Amino acid sequence: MTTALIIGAVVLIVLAGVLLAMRRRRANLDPVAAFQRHIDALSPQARRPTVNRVQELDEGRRGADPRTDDDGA
Amino acid sequence: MARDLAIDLGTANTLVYMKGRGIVLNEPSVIALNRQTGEVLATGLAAWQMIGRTPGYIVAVRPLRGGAITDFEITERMIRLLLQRVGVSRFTRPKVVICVPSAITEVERRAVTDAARRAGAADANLIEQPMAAAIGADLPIDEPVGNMVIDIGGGTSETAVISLGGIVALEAVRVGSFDIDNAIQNHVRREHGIAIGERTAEEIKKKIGSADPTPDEAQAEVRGRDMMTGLPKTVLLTPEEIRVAIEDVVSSIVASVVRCLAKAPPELSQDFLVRGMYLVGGGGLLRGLKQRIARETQVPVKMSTVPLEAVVLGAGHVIEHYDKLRGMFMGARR
Repeated sequence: MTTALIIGAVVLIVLAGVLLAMRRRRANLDPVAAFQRHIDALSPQARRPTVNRVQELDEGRRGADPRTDDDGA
Repeated sequence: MARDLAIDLGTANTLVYMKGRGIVLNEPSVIALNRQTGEVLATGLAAWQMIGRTPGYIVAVRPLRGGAITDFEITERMIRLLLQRVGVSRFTRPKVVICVPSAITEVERRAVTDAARRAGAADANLIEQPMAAAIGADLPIDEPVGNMVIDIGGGTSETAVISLGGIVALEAVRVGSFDIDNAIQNHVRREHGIAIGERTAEEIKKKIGSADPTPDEAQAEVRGRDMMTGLPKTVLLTPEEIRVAIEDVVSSIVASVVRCLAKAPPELSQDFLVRGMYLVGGGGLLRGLKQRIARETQVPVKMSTVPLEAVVLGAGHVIEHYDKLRGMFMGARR
Protein backbone atom coordinates (compact mmCIF):
# COMPACT_ATOMS: atom_id res chain seq x y z
CA MET A 1 0.00 0.00 0.00
CA THR A 2 2.77 2.43 1.03
CA THR A 3 4.83 1.43 -2.00
CA ALA A 4 1.89 2.13 -4.29
CA LEU A 5 1.43 5.54 -2.69
CA ILE A 6 5.10 6.41 -3.12
CA ILE A 7 5.08 5.25 -6.76
CA GLY A 8 1.90 7.26 -7.35
CA ALA A 9 3.43 10.38 -5.81
CA VAL A 10 6.61 10.01 -7.87
CA VAL A 11 4.57 9.56 -11.07
CA LEU A 12 2.54 12.67 -10.23
CA ILE A 13 5.67 14.73 -9.57
CA VAL A 14 7.27 13.57 -12.82
CA LEU A 15 4.07 14.34 -14.77
CA ALA A 16 3.84 17.81 -13.23
CA GLY A 17 7.49 18.43 -14.12
CA VAL A 18 6.99 17.31 -17.73
CA LEU A 19 3.87 19.48 -18.09
CA LEU A 20 5.71 22.49 -16.66
CA ALA A 21 8.68 21.95 -18.97
CA MET A 22 6.37 21.61 -22.01
CA ARG A 23 4.54 24.80 -21.07
CA ARG A 24 7.79 26.69 -20.60
CA ARG A 25 9.14 25.37 -23.90
CA ARG A 26 5.97 26.45 -25.73
CA ALA A 27 6.28 29.92 -24.19
CA ASN A 28 9.95 30.07 -25.22
CA LEU A 29 9.08 29.15 -28.79
CA ASP A 30 6.41 31.83 -29.07
CA PRO A 31 8.26 34.74 -30.72
CA VAL A 32 5.77 37.35 -29.52
CA ALA A 33 6.10 36.23 -25.90
CA ALA A 34 9.89 35.94 -26.21
CA PHE A 35 10.18 39.47 -27.64
CA GLN A 36 7.90 40.84 -24.92
CA ARG A 37 10.02 39.18 -22.23
CA HIS A 38 13.14 40.65 -23.85
CA ILE A 39 11.65 44.17 -23.85
CA ASP A 40 10.28 43.76 -20.31
CA ALA A 41 13.73 42.79 -19.09
CA LEU A 42 15.03 46.11 -20.45
CA SER A 43 12.23 48.20 -18.92
CA PRO A 44 12.96 50.87 -16.30
CA GLN A 45 11.41 48.63 -13.60
CA ALA A 46 13.65 45.69 -14.48
CA ARG A 47 16.68 47.95 -14.66
CA ARG A 48 15.98 49.60 -11.32
CA PRO A 49 18.61 47.54 -9.38
CA THR A 50 21.25 48.34 -12.04
CA VAL A 51 20.27 52.02 -12.02
CA ASN A 52 20.54 52.05 -8.24
CA ARG A 53 24.06 50.69 -8.52
CA VAL A 54 24.82 53.48 -11.03
CA GLN A 55 23.53 56.06 -8.54
CA GLU A 56 25.52 54.47 -5.70
CA LEU A 57 28.67 54.67 -7.83
CA ASP A 58 27.91 58.27 -8.81
CA GLU A 59 27.25 59.31 -5.22
CA GLY A 60 30.37 57.49 -4.05
CA ARG A 61 32.42 59.35 -6.63
CA ARG A 62 30.93 62.71 -5.66
CA GLY A 63 31.63 61.93 -2.03
CA ALA A 64 35.22 61.04 -2.86
CA ASP A 65 35.83 64.10 -5.03
CA PRO A 66 33.46 67.07 -4.59
CA ARG A 67 34.93 68.71 -7.72
CA THR A 68 33.63 65.92 -9.99
CA ASP A 69 31.91 67.52 -12.95
CA ASP A 70 28.70 65.91 -14.16
CA ASP A 71 29.74 66.51 -17.72
CA GLY A 72 33.12 64.97 -17.18
CA ALA A 73 34.63 67.20 -19.87
CA MET B 1 27.28 27.65 -6.11
CA ALA B 2 29.04 29.94 -8.58
CA ARG B 3 27.82 33.47 -8.97
CA ASP B 4 27.56 34.39 -12.64
CA LEU B 5 29.80 37.16 -13.92
CA ALA B 6 29.81 39.95 -16.47
CA ILE B 7 33.23 41.05 -17.71
CA ASP B 8 34.16 44.22 -19.56
CA LEU B 9 37.38 42.97 -21.11
CA GLY B 10 38.73 46.30 -22.25
CA THR B 11 42.01 47.18 -23.89
CA ALA B 12 42.73 49.55 -21.00
CA ASN B 13 40.81 48.19 -18.01
CA THR B 14 38.99 45.02 -17.03
CA LEU B 15 35.88 45.29 -14.89
CA VAL B 16 33.99 42.38 -13.37
CA TYR B 17 30.35 42.47 -12.22
CA MET B 18 29.10 39.67 -9.99
CA LYS B 19 25.43 38.72 -10.13
CA GLY B 20 23.59 40.12 -7.13
CA ARG B 21 26.65 42.01 -5.86
CA GLY B 22 27.68 44.63 -8.42
CA ILE B 23 31.18 45.59 -9.56
CA VAL B 24 33.73 43.49 -7.69
CA LEU B 25 36.88 44.22 -9.70
CA ASN B 26 38.19 47.19 -11.69
CA GLU B 27 41.83 46.99 -12.74
CA PRO B 28 44.08 47.75 -15.72
CA SER B 29 44.25 44.96 -18.34
CA VAL B 30 47.95 44.39 -17.76
CA ILE B 31 49.94 41.32 -16.82
CA ALA B 32 53.60 41.17 -15.75
CA LEU B 33 55.56 38.04 -16.61
CA ASN B 34 58.98 36.64 -15.92
CA ARG B 35 60.46 36.54 -19.41
CA GLN B 36 62.68 33.57 -18.59
CA THR B 37 60.30 31.25 -16.75
CA GLY B 38 57.00 32.53 -18.12
CA GLU B 39 55.61 32.85 -14.58
CA VAL B 40 53.00 35.50 -13.87
CA LEU B 41 54.44 38.06 -11.44
CA ALA B 42 51.57 40.51 -11.20
CA THR B 43 48.26 41.47 -12.79
CA GLY B 44 46.08 44.56 -12.81
CA LEU B 45 47.21 47.67 -10.98
CA ALA B 46 50.43 46.11 -9.69
CA ALA B 47 51.42 45.12 -13.24
CA TRP B 48 50.37 48.51 -14.66
CA GLN B 49 52.74 50.25 -12.23
CA MET B 50 55.58 48.18 -13.71
CA ILE B 51 55.05 49.33 -17.33
CA GLY B 52 58.28 50.83 -18.66
CA ARG B 53 60.03 50.40 -15.31
CA THR B 54 60.94 46.70 -15.31
CA PRO B 55 64.34 45.00 -15.32
CA GLY B 56 65.20 42.96 -18.38
CA TYR B 57 63.76 39.67 -17.17
CA ILE B 58 60.29 41.12 -16.45
CA VAL B 59 57.84 42.15 -19.14
CA ALA B 60 54.60 44.02 -18.40
CA VAL B 61 52.18 43.66 -21.32
CA ARG B 62 48.65 44.51 -22.34
CA PRO B 63 47.39 41.32 -23.99
CA LEU B 64 44.55 43.15 -25.75
CA ARG B 65 44.92 45.66 -28.55
CA GLY B 66 42.11 47.30 -30.46
CA GLY B 67 39.66 45.31 -28.35
CA ALA B 68 41.07 42.04 -29.65
CA ILE B 69 43.31 39.43 -28.12
CA THR B 70 46.86 39.77 -29.40
CA ASP B 71 48.27 37.02 -27.21
CA PHE B 72 45.81 34.21 -26.57
CA GLU B 73 47.83 32.37 -23.93
CA ILE B 74 48.57 35.47 -21.86
CA THR B 75 44.95 36.65 -22.09
CA GLU B 76 43.74 33.26 -20.87
CA ARG B 77 46.13 33.44 -17.91
CA MET B 78 45.03 36.98 -17.13
CA ILE B 79 41.32 36.01 -17.22
CA ARG B 80 42.03 32.92 -15.09
CA LEU B 81 43.77 35.04 -12.43
CA LEU B 82 41.01 37.67 -12.50
CA LEU B 83 38.35 34.97 -12.07
CA GLN B 84 40.32 33.44 -9.21
CA ARG B 85 40.46 36.83 -7.53
CA VAL B 86 36.66 37.10 -7.57
CA GLY B 87 36.24 33.64 -6.11
CA VAL B 88 35.97 31.34 -9.14
CA SER B 89 37.56 27.96 -8.51
CA ARG B 90 37.68 24.54 -10.14
CA PHE B 91 34.45 23.66 -8.35
CA THR B 92 32.55 26.89 -9.02
CA ARG B 93 32.27 27.45 -12.72
CA PRO B 94 30.07 30.48 -13.42
CA LYS B 95 28.26 31.56 -16.56
CA VAL B 96 30.08 34.56 -18.00
CA VAL B 97 28.97 37.39 -20.27
CA ILE B 98 31.87 39.28 -21.85
CA CYS B 99 31.62 42.70 -23.51
CA VAL B 100 33.60 42.97 -26.73
CA PRO B 101 33.81 45.55 -29.54
CA SER B 102 31.17 44.93 -32.19
CA ALA B 103 33.81 45.12 -34.91
CA ILE B 104 35.77 42.04 -33.85
CA THR B 105 36.00 39.15 -36.29
CA GLU B 106 34.58 35.65 -35.86
CA VAL B 107 38.08 34.36 -35.09
CA GLU B 108 38.58 37.04 -32.42
CA ARG B 109 35.18 36.23 -30.89
CA ARG B 110 36.10 32.59 -30.62
CA ALA B 111 39.44 33.51 -29.07
CA VAL B 112 37.65 35.46 -26.30
CA THR B 113 35.06 32.77 -25.52
CA ASP B 114 37.69 30.00 -25.64
CA ALA B 115 39.97 31.98 -23.31
CA ALA B 116 37.09 32.47 -20.83
CA ARG B 117 36.04 28.80 -20.95
CA ARG B 118 39.58 27.57 -20.49
CA ALA B 119 40.01 30.05 -17.64
CA GLY B 120 37.12 28.46 -15.72
CA ALA B 121 33.81 29.71 -17.13
CA ALA B 122 31.04 27.11 -17.55
CA ASP B 123 29.55 29.05 -20.44
CA ALA B 124 30.81 32.22 -22.12
CA ASN B 125 28.69 34.54 -24.24
CA LEU B 126 29.58 37.84 -25.86
CA ILE B 127 27.65 41.10 -25.98
CA GLU B 128 28.44 44.19 -28.04
CA GLN B 129 29.95 47.01 -25.99
CA PRO B 130 27.66 49.81 -27.25
CA MET B 131 24.57 47.76 -26.38
CA ALA B 132 25.89 47.07 -22.88
CA ALA B 133 26.87 50.73 -22.56
CA ALA B 134 23.35 51.87 -23.47
CA ILE B 135 21.83 49.60 -20.81
CA GLY B 136 24.39 50.73 -18.22
CA ALA B 137 23.90 54.40 -19.08
CA ASP B 138 20.20 53.94 -18.31
CA LEU B 139 18.94 54.89 -21.77
CA PRO B 140 15.30 53.97 -22.54
CA ILE B 141 16.27 51.31 -25.07
CA ASP B 142 13.06 49.33 -24.45
CA GLU B 143 11.07 52.10 -26.15
CA PRO B 144 10.66 52.67 -29.91
CA VAL B 145 12.83 55.79 -29.83
CA GLY B 146 16.30 56.51 -31.12
CA ASN B 147 19.03 56.20 -28.48
CA MET B 148 22.54 57.00 -29.59
CA VAL B 149 25.57 55.96 -27.62
CA ILE B 150 29.24 56.74 -28.34
CA ASP B 151 31.65 54.42 -26.54
CA ILE B 152 35.28 55.51 -26.74
CA GLY B 153 37.57 52.91 -25.25
CA GLY B 154 41.29 52.31 -25.17
CA GLY B 155 41.50 50.59 -28.54
CA THR B 156 38.12 51.08 -30.23
CA SER B 157 35.47 53.76 -30.67
CA GLU B 158 31.94 52.62 -31.38
CA THR B 159 28.78 54.54 -32.09
CA ALA B 160 25.42 52.79 -32.12
CA VAL B 161 21.79 53.71 -32.60
CA ILE B 162 19.58 51.52 -30.41
CA SER B 163 15.81 51.17 -30.38
CA LEU B 164 13.46 48.49 -29.03
CA GLY B 165 16.24 46.52 -27.44
CA GLY B 166 18.31 46.11 -30.59
CA ILE B 167 21.06 47.83 -32.57
CA VAL B 168 19.68 49.74 -35.56
CA ALA B 169 22.89 51.30 -36.86
CA LEU B 170 26.49 50.81 -35.88
CA GLU B 171 29.83 52.31 -36.74
CA ALA B 172 33.10 51.18 -35.22
CA VAL B 173 36.72 52.19 -35.72
CA ARG B 174 39.80 50.60 -34.19
CA VAL B 175 40.96 53.89 -32.80
CA GLY B 176 40.83 54.86 -29.15
CA SER B 177 42.55 56.65 -26.32
CA PHE B 178 45.74 54.57 -26.67
CA ASP B 179 46.13 56.01 -30.17
CA ILE B 180 45.92 59.46 -28.59
CA ASP B 181 48.73 58.46 -26.19
CA ASN B 182 50.79 57.15 -29.14
CA ALA B 183 50.23 60.39 -31.06
CA ILE B 184 51.49 62.36 -28.06
CA GLN B 185 54.56 60.10 -27.72
CA ASN B 186 55.37 60.53 -31.43
CA HIS B 187 54.88 64.30 -31.28
CA VAL B 188 57.18 64.74 -28.27
CA ARG B 189 59.84 62.55 -29.91
CA ARG B 190 59.60 64.32 -33.29
CA GLU B 191 59.21 67.94 -32.20
CA HIS B 192 61.17 68.01 -28.94
CA GLY B 193 63.61 65.17 -29.49
CA ILE B 194 62.83 63.40 -26.25
CA ALA B 195 61.52 59.90 -25.66
CA ILE B 196 58.68 59.39 -23.17
CA GLY B 197 56.88 56.24 -22.05
CA GLU B 198 53.21 55.40 -22.54
CA ARG B 199 52.34 56.23 -18.93
CA THR B 200 53.87 59.71 -19.29
CA ALA B 201 51.97 60.22 -22.56
CA GLU B 202 48.75 59.27 -20.76
CA GLU B 203 49.52 61.77 -17.99
CA ILE B 204 50.07 64.52 -20.59
CA LYS B 205 46.74 63.65 -22.21
CA LYS B 206 44.95 63.87 -18.86
CA LYS B 207 46.69 67.13 -17.91
CA ILE B 208 46.53 69.19 -21.08
CA GLY B 209 45.02 67.02 -23.83
CA SER B 210 41.88 68.38 -25.50
CA ALA B 211 39.84 67.91 -28.64
CA ASP B 212 38.60 71.51 -28.71
CA PRO B 213 39.87 74.69 -27.03
CA THR B 214 38.69 74.85 -23.43
CA PRO B 215 38.89 77.55 -20.75
CA ASP B 216 41.66 77.47 -18.10
CA GLU B 217 44.24 75.80 -20.34
CA ALA B 218 47.73 75.50 -18.87
CA GLN B 219 51.12 74.28 -20.04
CA ALA B 220 52.67 71.07 -18.76
CA GLU B 221 56.25 70.22 -17.93
CA VAL B 222 57.40 66.86 -19.24
CA ARG B 223 60.52 64.89 -18.44
CA GLY B 224 62.02 62.31 -20.75
CA ARG B 225 65.25 61.06 -22.32
CA ASP B 226 66.99 63.27 -24.87
CA MET B 227 67.28 61.27 -28.07
CA MET B 228 70.59 62.92 -29.02
CA THR B 229 72.50 62.99 -25.73
CA GLY B 230 70.72 60.21 -23.85
CA LEU B 231 70.44 62.49 -20.82
CA PRO B 232 67.24 63.34 -18.91
CA LYS B 233 65.59 66.50 -20.25
CA THR B 234 62.57 68.64 -19.40
CA VAL B 235 60.36 70.38 -21.96
CA LEU B 236 57.25 72.54 -21.74
CA LEU B 237 54.21 71.43 -23.78
CA THR B 238 51.24 73.59 -24.69
CA PRO B 239 47.62 72.44 -25.05
CA GLU B 240 47.58 73.79 -28.63
CA GLU B 241 50.44 71.59 -29.81
CA ILE B 242 48.92 68.52 -28.15
CA ARG B 243 45.59 69.33 -29.85
CA VAL B 244 47.36 69.44 -33.21
CA ALA B 245 49.26 66.21 -32.41
CA ILE B 246 46.09 64.23 -31.65
CA GLU B 247 43.94 65.84 -34.34
CA ASP B 248 44.06 62.83 -36.70
CA VAL B 249 42.81 60.46 -34.01
CA VAL B 250 40.08 62.84 -32.82
CA SER B 251 38.94 63.51 -36.41
CA SER B 252 38.72 59.79 -37.05
CA ILE B 253 36.48 59.31 -33.98
CA VAL B 254 34.24 62.27 -34.88
CA ALA B 255 33.97 61.05 -38.49
CA SER B 256 32.75 57.65 -37.31
CA VAL B 257 30.02 59.35 -35.24
CA VAL B 258 28.96 61.32 -38.32
CA ARG B 259 28.85 58.12 -40.41
CA CYS B 260 26.65 56.43 -37.81
CA LEU B 261 24.26 59.40 -37.80
CA ALA B 262 24.04 59.11 -41.58
CA LYS B 263 23.15 55.40 -41.30
CA ALA B 264 20.27 56.00 -38.85
CA PRO B 265 16.71 55.81 -40.19
CA PRO B 266 15.09 59.27 -40.47
CA GLU B 267 12.36 58.43 -37.94
CA LEU B 268 15.01 57.86 -35.30
CA SER B 269 17.26 60.73 -36.42
CA GLN B 270 14.77 63.31 -35.23
CA ASP B 271 14.90 61.79 -31.73
CA PHE B 272 18.61 62.57 -31.41
CA LEU B 273 18.00 66.32 -31.75
CA VAL B 274 15.71 66.19 -28.72
CA ARG B 275 17.34 63.45 -26.65
CA GLY B 276 20.96 63.97 -27.65
CA MET B 277 23.78 61.42 -27.85
CA TYR B 278 25.44 59.81 -24.83
CA LEU B 279 29.17 59.59 -24.44
CA VAL B 280 30.67 56.70 -22.43
CA GLY B 281 34.11 55.12 -22.05
CA GLY B 282 37.37 56.50 -20.69
CA GLY B 283 38.23 58.13 -24.03
CA GLY B 284 35.08 60.23 -23.74
CA LEU B 285 36.67 62.04 -20.79
CA LEU B 286 39.10 63.85 -23.12
CA ARG B 287 38.55 67.57 -22.58
CA GLY B 288 36.51 69.27 -25.28
CA LEU B 289 35.52 66.05 -27.04
CA LYS B 290 31.88 66.41 -26.07
CA GLN B 291 31.82 69.98 -27.41
CA ARG B 292 33.73 68.97 -30.55
CA ILE B 293 31.26 66.18 -31.44
CA ALA B 294 28.29 68.45 -30.67
CA ARG B 295 29.75 71.22 -32.85
CA GLU B 296 30.46 68.96 -35.82
CA THR B 297 27.19 67.00 -35.71
CA GLN B 298 24.85 69.77 -34.51
CA VAL B 299 23.40 67.24 -32.07
CA PRO B 300 23.56 67.72 -28.27
CA VAL B 301 26.04 65.40 -26.54
CA LYS B 302 25.65 64.33 -22.92
CA MET B 303 28.17 62.56 -20.75
CA SER B 304 27.06 59.44 -18.90
CA THR B 305 27.25 59.80 -15.12
CA VAL B 306 29.29 56.57 -15.01
CA PRO B 307 31.38 56.68 -18.21
CA LEU B 308 33.93 54.10 -17.07
CA GLU B 309 31.48 51.59 -15.61
CA ALA B 310 28.49 51.87 -17.99
CA VAL B 311 29.55 48.89 -20.12
CA VAL B 312 30.05 46.45 -17.25
CA LEU B 313 26.87 47.64 -15.52
CA GLY B 314 24.93 46.96 -18.73
CA ALA B 315 26.46 43.51 -19.04
CA GLY B 316 25.70 43.03 -15.35
CA HIS B 317 22.03 43.71 -16.06
CA VAL B 318 22.15 41.07 -18.81
CA ILE B 319 23.65 38.51 -16.40
CA GLU B 320 20.90 39.35 -13.87
CA HIS B 321 18.28 38.56 -16.57
CA TYR B 322 20.29 35.92 -18.39
CA ASP B 323 17.44 33.82 -19.82
CA LYS B 324 15.28 36.75 -20.91
CA LEU B 325 18.13 38.60 -22.62
CA ARG B 326 19.87 35.66 -24.31
CA GLY B 327 18.83 37.13 -27.65
CA MET B 328 21.33 39.94 -27.12
CA PHE B 329 24.32 37.65 -27.30
CA MET B 330 26.48 37.98 -30.38
CA GLY B 331 25.62 35.21 -32.79
CA ALA B 332 22.16 34.69 -31.23
CA ARG B 333 19.12 34.92 -33.50
CA ARG B 334 17.55 38.37 -33.33
